[in-house]
Amino acid sequence: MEINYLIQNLESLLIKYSNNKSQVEENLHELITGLEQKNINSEIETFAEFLLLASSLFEMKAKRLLPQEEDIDWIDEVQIMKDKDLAFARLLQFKAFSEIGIALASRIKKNEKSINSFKYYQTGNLFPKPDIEYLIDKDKFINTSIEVFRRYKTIEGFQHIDKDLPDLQKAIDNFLYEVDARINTSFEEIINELDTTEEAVAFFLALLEAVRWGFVKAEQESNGINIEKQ
Amino acid sequence: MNYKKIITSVLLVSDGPVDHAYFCDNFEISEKELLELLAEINDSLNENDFGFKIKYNDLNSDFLTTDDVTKELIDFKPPSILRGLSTPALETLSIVAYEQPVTKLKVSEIRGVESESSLKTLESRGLIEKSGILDVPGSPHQYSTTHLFLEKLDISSIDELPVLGDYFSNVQEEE
Repeated sequence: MEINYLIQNLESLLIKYSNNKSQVEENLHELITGLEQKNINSEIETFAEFLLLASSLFEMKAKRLLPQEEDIDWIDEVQIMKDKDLAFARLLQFKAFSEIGIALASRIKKNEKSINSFKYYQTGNLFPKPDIEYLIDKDKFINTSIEVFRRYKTIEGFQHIDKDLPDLQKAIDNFLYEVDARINTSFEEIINELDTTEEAVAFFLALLEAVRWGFVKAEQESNGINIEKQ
Repeated sequence: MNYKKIITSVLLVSDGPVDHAYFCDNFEISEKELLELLAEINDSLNENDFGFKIKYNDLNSDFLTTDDVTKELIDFKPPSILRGLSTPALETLSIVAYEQPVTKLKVSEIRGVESESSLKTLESRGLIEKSGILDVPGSPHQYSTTHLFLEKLDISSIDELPVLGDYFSNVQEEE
């Protein structure tokens, strides 16, 4: 199997010739040439994964061949590579969307050479929404109204309706801004600067949202919630 | 019944594309027969050098000017929907197109910058719309592309957008 051949090749580079830099280059060249000669159409994903693995190992190996003044934590190195891969993937994704945006615009422009018979797309109501009918049970409505008016101002639960609740989207933006400024912080430290309980609640919801989207990492400990920027 | 006469007159007075179902139901004909009729009408228009034709896809049909009279129509041409749209807005449009339904936060995350103004611009142009609310704290709006977007790209559904590959939808999972 070709993949086995390539792995053997890689092993020989990493183990047998560990101190020979020119051999590294030669083996790398041989590896790529070998790959190019194979029919990769049927197993392109396997080969792509293998190439990624091989290139990561080569990078690590190349670093080991350099004179080292201090000990290198290889676990950190692997983490850095993973971070680099993720950053690169994000960059590729962004670049792809950026180019596709231009391609879509180009296609729209081409299609706009022709004009539709009725220029409705310049009007506000492109596609009128259908009328929605909702039948109200009159008796049920009356009973609900009576109950609301009876309970109004007699139960604490209705008082909060008059309050101006903070906008959660704004809270998320503000929360991320605060975390950005600190990088490592705690929830308690952030809410200490807030004026009202409502704002604190909104910030807590913002924290949950930010964790959910992976913007921050939060850990609850006995003395509070530690927040780390991702 | 002269179907061609009715089809052309309906398309002339309609406010936008007419769904195939309208003709098929009223004429009691199959979609295949309707498409044949539309092709025949186009052949007649082409043979007689008319400056318009019927543009049709799998869903609907509409009158459209022919490509060779574009320059002569410059005084009548409505402003391009792309007029004034910046590169960031186009980036945002492509993200909404491929990731829909998508929240403002997700768009901003992919672009790495705040995207509210781009989304508002695209919404005001009718290229995207609020299509729902995500069931998470804060209930953020979700955005999707509109029928107008599909029409401008001359496609009948978002499935016809060029395929980006599985890779791009898996980036978040890798995190």
